[in-house]
Amino acid sequence: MGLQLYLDLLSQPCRAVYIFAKKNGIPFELRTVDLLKGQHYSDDFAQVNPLRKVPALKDGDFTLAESVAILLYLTRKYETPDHWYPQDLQARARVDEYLAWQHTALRTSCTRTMWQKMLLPVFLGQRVPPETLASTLAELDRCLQLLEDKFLKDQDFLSGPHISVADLVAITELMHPVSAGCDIFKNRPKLAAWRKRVEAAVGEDLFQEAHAVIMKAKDLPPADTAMKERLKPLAQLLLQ
Amino acid sequence: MWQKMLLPVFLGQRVPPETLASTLAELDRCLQLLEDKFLKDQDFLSGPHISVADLVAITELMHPVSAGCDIFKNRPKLAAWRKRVEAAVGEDLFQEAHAVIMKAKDLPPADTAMKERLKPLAQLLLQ
Repeated sequence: MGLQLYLDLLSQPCRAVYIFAKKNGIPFELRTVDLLKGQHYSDDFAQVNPLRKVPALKDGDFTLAESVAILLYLTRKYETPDHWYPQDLQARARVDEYLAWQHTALRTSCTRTMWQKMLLPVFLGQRVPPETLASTLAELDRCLQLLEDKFLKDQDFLSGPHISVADLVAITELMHPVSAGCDIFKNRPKLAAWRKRVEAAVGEDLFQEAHAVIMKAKDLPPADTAMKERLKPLAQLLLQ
Repeated sequence: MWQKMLLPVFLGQRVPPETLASTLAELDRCLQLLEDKFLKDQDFLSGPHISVADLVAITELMHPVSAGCDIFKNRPKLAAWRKRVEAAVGEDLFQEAHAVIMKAKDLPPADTAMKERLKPLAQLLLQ
C-alpha cells in the first residue's frame, strides 16, 4: 500500500498539503475525512491520527500528523525541487520562521474570520455579536500587516525570490476569509501581487481545484440539528 | 500560568473559578495526548534519544509547575520522562534555565503602569 493522505479540502492546511503533493506529482491515495460529518472523530481515523485532526498521512505503517510535519516529510522523501524547502541555511530558516509563526497568528485569525463571518451565521444559524466580528477582523488585519511587513517585504515570495512551502501554507490560509466574503486583497496591492505570483507558480487549474470546496462553502445548506449539536463546542470556542 | 498565578498574584485580578477549571481541564487533555500520542512507551518524545522536541516540551511543562500546578503528580510516565530529560540536559543547567520562572510567584505585585500595559494581554488570557 502506498502513500495515503487523509484530507478535507475545507481545511486550510489540507489544501496546502494537497497542492504540494499534486504540484510535485507525488502519487497518493486521497482519503477524504468529512469534517462537517464528524468523520475525524471515528475510531478508524483515530488509528491514523490519535489527535483526530486533518491532514494526516499514512505511508505503509508510518503515520504522521500536523501539516507542517507532513509537508516537510514529503519534501524530504520525494526530494522535491530545492526552492520548496531550500538547503541554504538562512533561506531555510526563513521558511521555518514563517511555518512556526503562522499557527497561532494567521491560522487563528483566518479560522475565526471564516467561522464568525460565514459558518456560524449561515451554516449554524447562530448570531455573532458585531463587536466580536469587528475584533476578529481587526486582529486579521494586524496579522496581514505583519505578513506584509515582516515576511513578504519587497520579495517576490515569503522566504525570498522563489516559492516555498511557506507560500502554500499562507495562500491557503488567506483563501479562507476570501471564501467567507472578506476581500482581504482589496486594499493590499502588495499581497494581491504576491497572490498572483503564487497562483501562477502553482498553476491556475490546480489552485482552483484545491479551492473548489471552500469557495462553495457559502452555498452549503443549513446544518441539521445533529450537526449543530456536534459542532456546538467548536462554535463556542470560535465565538470567544 | 496566567490564570493560576500571574493574574491573581501579580496583577491582583480575580479569575473566575470556572475559567481556571476549564483551563486546567484543557491542560489535562493536552498532557494526555502528550503521553498517549507522542511519548507512548519511548524514553523520549521522538524515540530513544533526547531531541529538541523534549526541550520544547519540558520548558513548557515547567510553566504550570512554577505556578504551583503539580502536573507530574498523578502522571508517573511523564514524571519519569522529566527525570530522564533533566539528567540528559544536566541538573545544573536545568535549574539555571528555570531559576527565573521558579521565582515568579515571589514577584512583588505589579505597579499601576505595569498593570495598564499588561491589561490587553490579561483580557486575552482570561477568555
